[in-house]
Amino acid sequence: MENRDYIFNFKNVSFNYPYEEPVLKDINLVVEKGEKVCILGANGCGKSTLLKLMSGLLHIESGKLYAFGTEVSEKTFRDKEFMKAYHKKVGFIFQNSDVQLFCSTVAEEIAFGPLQLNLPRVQVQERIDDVLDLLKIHHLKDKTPFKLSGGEKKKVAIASILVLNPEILILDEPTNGLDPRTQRWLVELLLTLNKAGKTIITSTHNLELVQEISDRSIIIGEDHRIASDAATADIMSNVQLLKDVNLVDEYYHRHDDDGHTHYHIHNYSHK
Amino acid sequence: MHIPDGYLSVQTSVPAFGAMVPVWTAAVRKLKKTMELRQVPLVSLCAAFAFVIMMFNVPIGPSSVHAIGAVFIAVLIGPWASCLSITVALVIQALVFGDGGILALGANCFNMAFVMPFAGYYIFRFLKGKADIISKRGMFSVFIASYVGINLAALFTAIEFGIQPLLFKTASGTPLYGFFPLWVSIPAIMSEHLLIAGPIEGLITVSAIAYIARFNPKMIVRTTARQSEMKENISFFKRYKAILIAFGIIAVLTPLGMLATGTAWGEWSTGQIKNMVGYVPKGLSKLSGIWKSLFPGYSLDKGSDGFLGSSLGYLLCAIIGIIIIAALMLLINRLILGKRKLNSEKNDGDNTASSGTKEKQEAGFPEWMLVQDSVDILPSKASKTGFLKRTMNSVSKFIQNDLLSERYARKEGFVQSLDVRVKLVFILFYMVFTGITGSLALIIATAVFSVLLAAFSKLEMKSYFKRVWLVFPLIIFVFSIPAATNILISGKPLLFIYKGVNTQGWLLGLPGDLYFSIEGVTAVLKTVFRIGTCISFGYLLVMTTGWSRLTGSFSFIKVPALVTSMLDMTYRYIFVLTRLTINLFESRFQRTVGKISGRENRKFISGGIAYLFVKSSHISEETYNAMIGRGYDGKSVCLEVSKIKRNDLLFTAFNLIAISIIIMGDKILGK
Repeated sequence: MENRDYIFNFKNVSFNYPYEEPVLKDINLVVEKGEKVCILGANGCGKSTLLKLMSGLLHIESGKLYAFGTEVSEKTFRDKEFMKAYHKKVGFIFQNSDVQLFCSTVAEEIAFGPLQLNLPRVQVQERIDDVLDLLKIHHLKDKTPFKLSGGEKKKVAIASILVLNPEILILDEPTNGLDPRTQRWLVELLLTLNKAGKTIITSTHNLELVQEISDRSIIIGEDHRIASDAATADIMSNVQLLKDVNLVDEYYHRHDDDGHTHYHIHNYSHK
Repeated sequence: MHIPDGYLSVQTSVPAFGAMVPVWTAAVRKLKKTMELRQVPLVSLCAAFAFVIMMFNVPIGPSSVHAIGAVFIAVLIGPWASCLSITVALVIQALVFGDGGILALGANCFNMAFVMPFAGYYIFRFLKGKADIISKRGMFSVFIASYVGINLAALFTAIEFGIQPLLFKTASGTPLYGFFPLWVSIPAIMSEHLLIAGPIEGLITVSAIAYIARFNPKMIVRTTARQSEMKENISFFKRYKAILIAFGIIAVLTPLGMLATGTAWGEWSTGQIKNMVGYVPKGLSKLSGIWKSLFPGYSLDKGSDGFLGSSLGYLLCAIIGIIIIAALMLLINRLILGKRKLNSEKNDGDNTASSGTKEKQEAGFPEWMLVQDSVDILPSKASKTGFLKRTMNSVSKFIQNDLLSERYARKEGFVQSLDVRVKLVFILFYMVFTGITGSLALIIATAVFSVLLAAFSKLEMKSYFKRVWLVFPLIIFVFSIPAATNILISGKPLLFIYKGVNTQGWLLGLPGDLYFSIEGVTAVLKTVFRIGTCISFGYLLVMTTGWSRLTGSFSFIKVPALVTSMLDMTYRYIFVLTRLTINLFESRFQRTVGKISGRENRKFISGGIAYLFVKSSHISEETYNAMIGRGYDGKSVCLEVSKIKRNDLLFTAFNLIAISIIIMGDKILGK
């Protein structure tokens, strides 16, 4: 390996679910430590699948995948110690918080991971309190997760991952269904985590947020191949590319006034 | 089919538990060994799914019934997993809804979580042979399997009900538990299931599986090995010869099968009964006459008494059932499988249509959308609640119930302050005690005690009485009124309905005098209060505890951690699924214009069930991934460790004293 600092290295990876058409074709991709990467693409292009391959929840069908300097495959995950270590390093936050919250109280939800990793109980308690404080959700501690609001659920889901202190944080459409204020909060959190040295990989449809939560963007086309892999700023200014992969339509445009750039989706053109 | 507490004798419900323990153990072991970890969330989801579909009211004529789904789950994920799923669903129903008793759980599980999925599964395997599940033969097997499955479960229920008055009675011959012997319980329960609930269960199972086969074949492929393509152009009878023969045999064997269980209802000639139990119900000889006249159709051969006549009756029932099934099967073949080809063509058409939406958009709206339809809003005519509303109500009742229990569990009442384990032990004790004692006074005293506890726990007494005492005990009371007369329980007259009018026996063969007997009334009151007390304690337990703490205490009574975590997960999924269900029904409700036929509604229900199942299995896979993603390896670890406090010791001491007084009282009064 020429580059020792990579986290994920995909070599000609393809993937398909049993009895279905391929969802990813010929993926070549390197993610380095400390990056902020965003995966873009139209619905159904394979973004979530790519994220799940990274987080070790799915395993590649063909090609090779290296992570943290070793080759990773279905076989390596049969080793329980390897699996646990891997999942501790790579935290995955699901698009649908409902599937991620399966314990009966928030405290137990957050404790699930550390307890599975056999941390001492005292330390587990401390960590729970720290994480609850960090996300300012201490008042939810004894509540039942599935009766919380959408935003609260997302926070608890994030807490349940952060408590494991992962090096890489993978978020599948994290801002989906959140109100603007909570979206803002999430962006700030991700930036802070990135500054603290965590690698952040997200997938999103929210083009307004892409520039804030990533330096680099990877676009997957509707043919399930990588259509582009470049700096976010470059990709965002290439409106033709975004149109080609069916992410936006002709009404999409950007504003460049006052040194501030942002993106808009309109159903009509404006002056 | 859910047996409430207090109706079965403790001597029946405890052995039923005993019978289920090895089954459960084997199922858990099987799950741990042969199935992957991946199955754990799936089993919980199936349980949630079963729970939810038991709330789907299927309209049939003026009333409605619900499916159980045990065979459906067994066909998709296997009988052992189905057994656990249904068990978990029943536990939650018993604990949260009071639907089916807590002590009676063993019996309910035996009928619905053991007999039904296993019988159904093996019948399915046998009939299907090597055929593809989505072939006509496969669908046929699914139908028969679920039909026979639910009927066997019903038969066991009927037997459990019916043997109560035979097994347990006071010295004077008054039954202690339940009043309706086998010759009442079996016809009553079986005729309903052979004719209505059975075909409905079969229809729903088969259409749900057909829907899944059509829209999500991956799931079927994954769960059952798919084999040869089906052959075309063979006549119906030729193709189904084997099945039809097997079916005929089953039909003929229906009454014999009842005999084989050892407690056939037809055999009660007085002499035999005397040999068997050493007791002759006095009403029996009088009643054989009533039976004949009430159900003339059942006794084809008027000359023979009891056994033969009723056997033919059952045979008739079974034949009618089979005719209905055959008709339904033909219909289903036509509706679902026949349409499959058409549909696949149509789907292809849809695909091209969706890719062409762009052109459509540019072309603008279809013309009819631009014109305002003239719809008059007529003054509403208040009508009976439709089945959609009914289902929605029962679904939302679940959520309300849970919210209520959370609210109560947070109040600072007496029972709330107790350790869950202490609560559990004493509440179970009082339930068993009311089941065992023969004294009406003591049962009422226990009932009063439970009411006092409820009051001390700051429960809202109005809703407590409504939920606990008004509904179920009252229904039982009404149903048991005939049992209080001398027809079923003879004894000293208390109140005459008529006296000596009917000496010739011309009126339906009724006895000369008809009166409420003291023994009869006492027996009815005992049962009513027994049931009420059990429900009351169950309600108290659930309402003061909150779900998570309740399941947390289960390890204390040696429930394996795997099962507890499944219970927890199921409970959670029920919320997710009930929300989905409510959405599903609301959207249906919102789009309902005009009158919908019963068939349409049933189609909607089976479609809904299939949709829920596909959704369930999707959620379960995601959840499993989420668990794996946090290092899950099958171990379940609990954060909270509960401690015994001062109040618990006080309560224990108080109860020990109370119990010793009660037991002494029972010695004196129970005679």
